[in-house]
Amino acid sequence: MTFKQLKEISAPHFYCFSLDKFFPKTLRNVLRKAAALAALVSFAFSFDSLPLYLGLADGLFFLFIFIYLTLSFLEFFYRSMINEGLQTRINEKLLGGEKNIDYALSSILFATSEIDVTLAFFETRVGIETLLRSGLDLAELKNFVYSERTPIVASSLNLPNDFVDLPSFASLVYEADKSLRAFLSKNSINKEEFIGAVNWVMNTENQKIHKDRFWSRENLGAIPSIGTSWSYGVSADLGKYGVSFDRLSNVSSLLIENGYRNREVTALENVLLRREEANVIIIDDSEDVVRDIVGRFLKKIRLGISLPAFEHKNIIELDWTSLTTSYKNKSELEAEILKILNQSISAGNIILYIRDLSGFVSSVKSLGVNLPSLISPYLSSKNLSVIASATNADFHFFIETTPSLLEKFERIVPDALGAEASVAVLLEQIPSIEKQYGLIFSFPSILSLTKTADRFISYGEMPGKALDMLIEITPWAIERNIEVLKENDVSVFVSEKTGIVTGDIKEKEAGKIEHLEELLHQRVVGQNEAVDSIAGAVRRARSGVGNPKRPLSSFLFIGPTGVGKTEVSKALAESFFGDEKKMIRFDMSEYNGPEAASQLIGDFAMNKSGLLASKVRDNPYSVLLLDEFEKAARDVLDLFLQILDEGVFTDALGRQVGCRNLIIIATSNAGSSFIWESIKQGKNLIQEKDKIINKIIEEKIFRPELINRFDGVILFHPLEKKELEDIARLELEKLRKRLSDQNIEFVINEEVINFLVEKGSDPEFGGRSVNRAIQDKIENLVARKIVSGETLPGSKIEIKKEELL
Amino acid sequence: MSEVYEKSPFLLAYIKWHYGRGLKELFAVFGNFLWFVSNFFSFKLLLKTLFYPWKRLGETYEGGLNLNAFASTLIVNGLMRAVGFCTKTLVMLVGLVSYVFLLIFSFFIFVIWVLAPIILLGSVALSATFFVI
Repeated sequence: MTFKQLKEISAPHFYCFSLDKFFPKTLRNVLRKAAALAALVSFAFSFDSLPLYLGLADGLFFLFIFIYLTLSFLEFFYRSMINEGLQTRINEKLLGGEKNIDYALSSILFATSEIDVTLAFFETRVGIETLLRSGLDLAELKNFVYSERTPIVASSLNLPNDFVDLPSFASLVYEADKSLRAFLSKNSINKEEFIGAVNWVMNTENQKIHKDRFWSRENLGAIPSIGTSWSYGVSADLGKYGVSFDRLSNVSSLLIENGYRNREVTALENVLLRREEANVIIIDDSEDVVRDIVGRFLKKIRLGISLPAFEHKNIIELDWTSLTTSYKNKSELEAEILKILNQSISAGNIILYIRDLSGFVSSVKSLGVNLPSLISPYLSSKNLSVIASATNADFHFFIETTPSLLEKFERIVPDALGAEASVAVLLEQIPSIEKQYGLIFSFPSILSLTKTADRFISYGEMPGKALDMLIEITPWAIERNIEVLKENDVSVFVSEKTGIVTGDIKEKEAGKIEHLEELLHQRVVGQNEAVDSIAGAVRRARSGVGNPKRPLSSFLFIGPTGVGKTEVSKALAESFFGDEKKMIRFDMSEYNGPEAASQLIGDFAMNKSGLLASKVRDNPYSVLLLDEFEKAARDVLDLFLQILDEGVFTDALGRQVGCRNLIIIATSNAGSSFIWESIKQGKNLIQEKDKIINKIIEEKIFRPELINRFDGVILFHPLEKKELEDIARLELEKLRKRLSDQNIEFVINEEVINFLVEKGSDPEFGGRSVNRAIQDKIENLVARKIVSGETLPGSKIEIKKEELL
Repeated sequence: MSEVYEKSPFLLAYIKWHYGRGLKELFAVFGNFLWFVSNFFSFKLLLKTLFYPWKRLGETYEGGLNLNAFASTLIVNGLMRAVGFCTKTLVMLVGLVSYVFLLIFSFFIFVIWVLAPIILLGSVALSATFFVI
């Protein structure tokens, strides 16, 4: 299709735009109503002069009638043209649905000039709306329009032959226009975000048109009819313990058009259509997901677009908590439950919703009521439909073990949704939030909100996590006087909330990450290879190149003791999470018995939560340090195999624990003798790395699949003299600082350093022996001098070699 | 069909629409409103449940030979059915009247639609006549 052809088929919409241009809509409406009123008034006045008096009032009456009718016909024409190409939920055979044109696109095409296609996006209401929703400011738009840019001509667009809507057109323009692309990417808006914003604007425009068509079947059909409640029964007891589902869940904002949860709702409808045993149990750990599905089903019924069998049906939620607390006696409770079920059947239009079925079963069990056998006959009857919910664990432990319940319910397991599908749910909520708070959301901010919620919130499921975050960020943004919420604001919000830095790498932080090696070296002496590969991995993770379905990074540190393995981990915690205390530390040599795994992930039989599970939950953003990893039991190693691979594990109580925000560091002394040997023989450790790893595998210390799961295996070599000197200097500097707080000047001299290096050359303890020598010798000596009064505040201490011997 | 309007001047496009597509659409809108009235007064459901008790209220007779209980159940249930019948009939009557009114109104609009040029020209002419005379 050529651009000209596209414009030609969009002609019906163009009549509306030209009409709006020369004769604005509001003016038309005011005039039409005024004409109607004036016609009525003049008609009344004309009666004064009966029988037949041809006067001014009569003349005016006919004039106003003319104006009114002309404007009305014009309005009909206008509305008919707008609706061309509109897709309706209910097929009304109403004309024009077969047209492949899109109103939002036409509004841009109308203003598009063939020599500068992009300009119309900056000059039309819909176009500007798409750019604002992409996260741009009005001032930036002007800058771009008046900047030196290369306009693109319409003929350069490669339009498809069948159907072009606004997003597909915008995508073609985006591809063709280099300056636009550069402008958007300068404002960190990528194609996905731009097209997403365009799509959103198009859908909003279409919703407006749908809403304006008060004469359409979809709008007329949504008006509740009178008299239905007289034909169906009322249920007094159900009224006491049952609440209409839409009073507890807001179904009005749900959009059926976006197709969200379509599979689940259709499955629900199909089961409920059955003649008997039309009962569904929806299994999901989040009650919100279940309510969302049931709500969408109810919304379809209310809109009259569900299957005819569900016409006039109502979903009533059984409030079993107040039911069970109202009765203290088994037989009374049983009688009440039966009464409610009987009344639901006789009412004839009720679908019963029971939240947390297993909770209901166990709560009435305390009064001795056997609910499964009590309600079983009702569940098999053809007059009652029940929708129930259960969590995965409850379903397996309570319902699967009760055949009388299990066989009566058809199972629906909702799909686990990722960030992408959740965007649609967030978009549903935006209009009401924007209206309530006067805050405007840009599309990239919503996208980033769902992505960060998915990645960084370890509790809960999607889309609930994202919705919670949306509710939290709104007052936060209002407090900071933010008018348009942008992607950057979301990053700031997340880092304030969690301490983890996400989103755009800011200048200061960029410097920090760029110079991570130097930062790490401020605390870690030597170990260049190790520091380089760690910094590389961290950069990969922060730049978004890393795999989001795994931990942030994971390393296996191999090397003799006291060479800086723990220090590197602390330094990493400090530079990545802002605090060296952001570290969970496990000594894995304590987890080598048969109980090890249950100590870490908990015990179902004893209803005990595991140490690893609870610590990771409490500190989801931290470094997980696993000392002496090789000493852990085999099943513990298997557990970490899964954590390293998927970034999550399931604890004994069936709850998922996310490890995707952890930097996992396992340390091991394995192969250190081999490392020592290589060093003694003067070999280069980097070249020996593969050999050392092979040796570890050969000795069956670690399995190859475990080693391969780590982002990097990092060898720490024994410290050399120069490095020991640096450590000694670093540690003495710390002591000097402490003493200067007491107004004592501590002089660091070569003699002391040489002494420490000599002490620190113990191959078994490495750098740690330097620390020990400082404690044992230097600090003791200084303490003695202070206590004896030899050194007073304001004086100087210099230690000589003789004093140390 | 949009080819019809293609490049046509506004008035020509309008006239084509008025007697083609516009007329068809008018009927569709009438159809929608008539459908709405029958839906709003739920004719089908009320007819089906015309003799059902009001809001399905009533007593269940426990059985056995208890003349008093039998009589009271009979009276209560009969009453409920009578109430149901009367209200539903009334509503259906109102619905029917609305339906007929809507039909008449639709016909009236249809006539105006078809005779639009005559009515418009006529009203201008009449108004002019009044002013002139």
